[in-house]
Amino acid sequence: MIETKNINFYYGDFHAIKNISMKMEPNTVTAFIGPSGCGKSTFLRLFNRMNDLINNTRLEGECLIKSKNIYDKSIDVDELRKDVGMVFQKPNPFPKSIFENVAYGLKVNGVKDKKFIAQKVEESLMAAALWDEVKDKLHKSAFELSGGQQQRLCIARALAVAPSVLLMDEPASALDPISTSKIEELIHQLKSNYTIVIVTHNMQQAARVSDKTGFFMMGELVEYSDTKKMFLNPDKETTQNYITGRFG
Amino acid sequence: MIKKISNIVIKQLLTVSGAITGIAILFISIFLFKEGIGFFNSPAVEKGYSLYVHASNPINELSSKEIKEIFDSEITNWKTVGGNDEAIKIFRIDEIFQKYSEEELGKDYQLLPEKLGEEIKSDKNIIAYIPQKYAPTLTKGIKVLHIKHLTLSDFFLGKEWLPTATPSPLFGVMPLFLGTLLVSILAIIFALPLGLGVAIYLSELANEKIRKLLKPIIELLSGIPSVVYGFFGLVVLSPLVQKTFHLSVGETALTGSLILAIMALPTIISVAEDAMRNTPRAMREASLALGATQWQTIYKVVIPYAKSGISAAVVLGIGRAIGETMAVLMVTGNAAVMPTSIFNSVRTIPATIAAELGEAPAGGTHYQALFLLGCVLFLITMVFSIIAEIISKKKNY
Ligand SMILES: Nc1ncnc2c1ncn2[C@@H]1O[C@H](COP(=O)(O)OP(=O)(O)OP(=O)(O)O)[C@@H](O)[C@H]1O
Ligand SMILES: [Mg+2]
Repeated sequence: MIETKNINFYYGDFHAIKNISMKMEPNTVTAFIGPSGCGKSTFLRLFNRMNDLINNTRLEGECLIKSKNIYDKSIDVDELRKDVGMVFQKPNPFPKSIFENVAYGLKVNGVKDKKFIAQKVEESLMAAALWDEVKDKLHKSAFELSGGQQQRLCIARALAVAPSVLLMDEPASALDPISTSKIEELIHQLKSNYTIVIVTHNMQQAARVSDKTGFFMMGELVEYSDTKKMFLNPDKETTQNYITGRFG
Repeated sequence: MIKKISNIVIKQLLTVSGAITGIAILFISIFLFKEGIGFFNSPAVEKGYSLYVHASNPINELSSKEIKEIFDSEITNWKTVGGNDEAIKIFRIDEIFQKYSEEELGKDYQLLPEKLGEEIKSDKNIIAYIPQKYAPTLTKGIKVLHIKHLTLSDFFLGKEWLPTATPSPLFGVMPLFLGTLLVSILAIIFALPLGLGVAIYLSELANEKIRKLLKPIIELLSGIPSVVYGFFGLVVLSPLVQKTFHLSVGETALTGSLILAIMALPTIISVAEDAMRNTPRAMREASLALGATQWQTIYKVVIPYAKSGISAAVVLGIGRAIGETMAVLMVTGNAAVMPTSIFNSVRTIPATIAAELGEAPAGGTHYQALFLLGCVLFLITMVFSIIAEIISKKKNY
């Protein structure tokens, strides 16, 4: 589904991603772990070309999604981002109603059919396990929701445009344990329909939700293997040290 | 201990400065309205003068507009103002000097009142305009004409602003009010789309280098004194307007609004740009990550988010346009007539106040009328601010 080939990424002179090649299969959850500042977010944001927004950056190598190089000139970035959804670390709903938040992606993509939009909004909210909590106040401000609800709203918003890949950058780091477990449950359910890449600082979370785990350090991919193997019997000593909490 | 005291001192200082500002603003408003309201208790003729008619004349009272029209010979028959069907005979004090020599009037014009009295008594259709100093001795044949106080409708609906006309000045605010609205609204129509366009360009599209160059220049422009803009308007814009539209004069409402638009632009641009740049990056990223284009992101997320800042920009821009005095005074041609087209000369309220306050005797009717103009201006700006406030508050989640 996603494949990177010898990716190098620079912020100005700073070499943030160092020659990373990896593959992610469809309908799997891949977790990125590693100490702060090692480049997890940077790497993740390459998959929906979010780093294009930052001035003075440079990319080498190829990033293929569905076997197409997404940095190819022929790629329409807006189309790509429809197919590769993203959920951010901090919940960032728009200052609009709950309904409008979820409908946003459809509307900007030219969907006009009100019935279809309403149906999609409901489906997405259900898929994000939020429907029951908000069905009576769809037209209230999204800011009236709790942090955890807002994050699930952001997930629903991303699901509404029917992406095939879902990128999540520490989606639960700002949330309480109950909201976190709801999100984790959600990831489990979404797996059958989406390819998910999740950045997390929480080892247990990575162990609970992911099929494969990549361990990053200083811009390098130190180790990448099945989550079970990674946590029980990693190949590298640095990985072992990080996972057992000896640094980082 | 010292920290505690300094905390208290700072708190007190802030409270006091807040209170002083508040009181000052309140005082100014009260002063403005107090002086302005006095207008409605003023008689409509020049101070120190009175009007006299023959005692047999059924007319006891006239309004300032009627008086003005009589003395302009627009009304020539008493019937028009509700009297007998007789031609009006106007008498001005100068005429007495043609009839009598200085000697006949006596030392220090001692005999003048008497002669005036005779003059009025001799003609039952006369209306005489005479300084009270020489008031004719009120004998049987003469009566003082009562003059109606100026009314709200005289002021607000009056179509003529002739504050120095004798004997009866006219203070109709309509032409000035419409002139102000015309020039300001036109200015906003020019400045708003352009200003917001540039603000969007600067905040969303321009690269860092261009913005770093343009922003300080634009901010500098808003600090240029308005006389300089006025001068530019007079020398450059006004001839340009004259040539382009083949007009006899270039000082028109259009010229005024163009110069106002130019003056309001820097403020609008700079405030609106700040507001848009304050839209959190997370909002833009959220929108783009859903496949929205940059333009969709701008008008669906950035602009709504920056709405209250943008409306502040608009209010400041409009405020400048409505309140601006000097530049407008210089380029609009200053004709206090009802505007009929944007190519007419007009006169705005602030320009009128600036131009006339110097020559209006303090406490006089004209002076009070100018204060009332100030109140009107105050209210116009307030209404605009309230509208902008309502728009910016509307459905802001
Ligand atoms: N916009 C930027 N400009 C310059 N350098 C950046 C920028 N964003 C990130 N970096 C640098 O790139 C490196 C990787 O950052 P990144 O945000 O990808 O780390 P991360 O692994 O996500 O860290 P965290 O776990 O704290 O989120 C860091 O050293 C950071 O300082
Ligand atoms: Mg990060």
